[in-house]
Amino acid sequence: MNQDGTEQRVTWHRELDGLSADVLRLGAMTCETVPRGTDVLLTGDLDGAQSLIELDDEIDALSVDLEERCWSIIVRQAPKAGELRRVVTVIKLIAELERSADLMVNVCKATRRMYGSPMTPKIRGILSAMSAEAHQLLRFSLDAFADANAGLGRALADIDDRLDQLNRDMVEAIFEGNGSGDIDLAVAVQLALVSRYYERIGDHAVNIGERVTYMVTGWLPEHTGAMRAAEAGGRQPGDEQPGGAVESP
Amino acid sequence: MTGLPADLEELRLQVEVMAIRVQTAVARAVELVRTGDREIAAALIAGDDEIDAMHVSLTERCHETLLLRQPMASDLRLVVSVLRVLSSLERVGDLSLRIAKTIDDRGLVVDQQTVVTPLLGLADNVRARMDIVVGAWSAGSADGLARLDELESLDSFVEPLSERILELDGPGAARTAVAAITMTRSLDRIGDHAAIIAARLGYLLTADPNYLAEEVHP
Repeated sequence: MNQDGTEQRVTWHRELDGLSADVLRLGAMTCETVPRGTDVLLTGDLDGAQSLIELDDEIDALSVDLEERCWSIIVRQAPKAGELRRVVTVIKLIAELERSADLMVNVCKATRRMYGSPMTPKIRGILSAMSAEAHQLLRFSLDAFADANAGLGRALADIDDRLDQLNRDMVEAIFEGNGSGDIDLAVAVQLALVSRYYERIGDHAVNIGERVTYMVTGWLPEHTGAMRAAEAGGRQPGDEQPGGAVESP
Repeated sequence: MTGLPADLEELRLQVEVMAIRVQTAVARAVELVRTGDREIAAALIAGDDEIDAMHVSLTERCHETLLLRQPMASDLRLVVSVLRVLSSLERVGDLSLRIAKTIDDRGLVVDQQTVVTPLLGLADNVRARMDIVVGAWSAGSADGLARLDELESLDSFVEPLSERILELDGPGAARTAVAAITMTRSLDRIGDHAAIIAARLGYLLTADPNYLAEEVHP
């Protein structure tokens, strides 16, 4: 490779590293919304709720900017194989992180709707535990991306089981609290939604883990479902039918 | 037709096939809310694996096209748009599945006449939205998307529905309310994804990046 070519490669790798660094910055901003949003929820801090809602505008703007940079890289640099997988993974990560931050905005809005209504100690305890799990899952997913750690990426689905169980515990605690008259129906509904938001953040972290696994190995866990469907139809994933179509209408 | 144009046409057609499968899933979810038929629930659950399979297959096809053909300008817009549309379609499949999973508590919801009428109205509205966007994708034209604006807004169903859910009372009120809210939100989100697909189609056909901003807050 001549000197110009070498310099171009160095510049290109710097651009790719810069992109990864900015995605991690987006990830850090999103991660931070989880404990902050939970604090807002548990203390009824309406100013804190407004701050987080405003922070989400910054997260949205950064998400749009990062996605545009990804597509610009694909057009200008025509990345090959592993590099392309990295850029495609970043595009997926941006969407998962942006949506996670939106979910914490939903928690803030639920806080406003429930303002002044008490929660039972049991429910407060479960919410704290759900927040900690969701926060940890998001951090692990970003660690997996930063370190290109497919093992950690794969493990997230199992780690997420704890959050799923907490969601079930929460729903039972809500029914119990409403049944005993400790929380009214409007609060019960908001709490069920809040519980679902934390569970969804966990799902987004699992999705990030799957994308990291794809980035490192080229294998998507979704292939499992694809394999199941293909076997049911007597085909293998990726097999084409005559005429090139995956399936006919 | 050969090379990149042939690849892109094939990709567009395969997305149409996946969109029709997802449209079927939504239609089944709506029928499930209406009838509680467990066979429909089973068909919906089984069909989701096929949707996931197409999502994987078509995502890989997009990556292959990017890698091997290096599309530019409007061709690149098509591939980018397909990737986004695939994500939304897969999510709509998942949301339909969520509705199927409420089947055990559906009876509690439909016993509440004040809730079930607007819920079915929302379900029919969302189904119409999916029909419009899938039809627009098939036609390769944004013209039909104007029909989305002719439909009653999602909020016009969701807001009164939420109020009526909160008016429920009795010992099983919380369980009924949570099931009803799950159905409502799933349908509402399907409507949002229909808007995302419509925005992507608008971007694809006009190259106006303002459509991308609409996607962030559907």
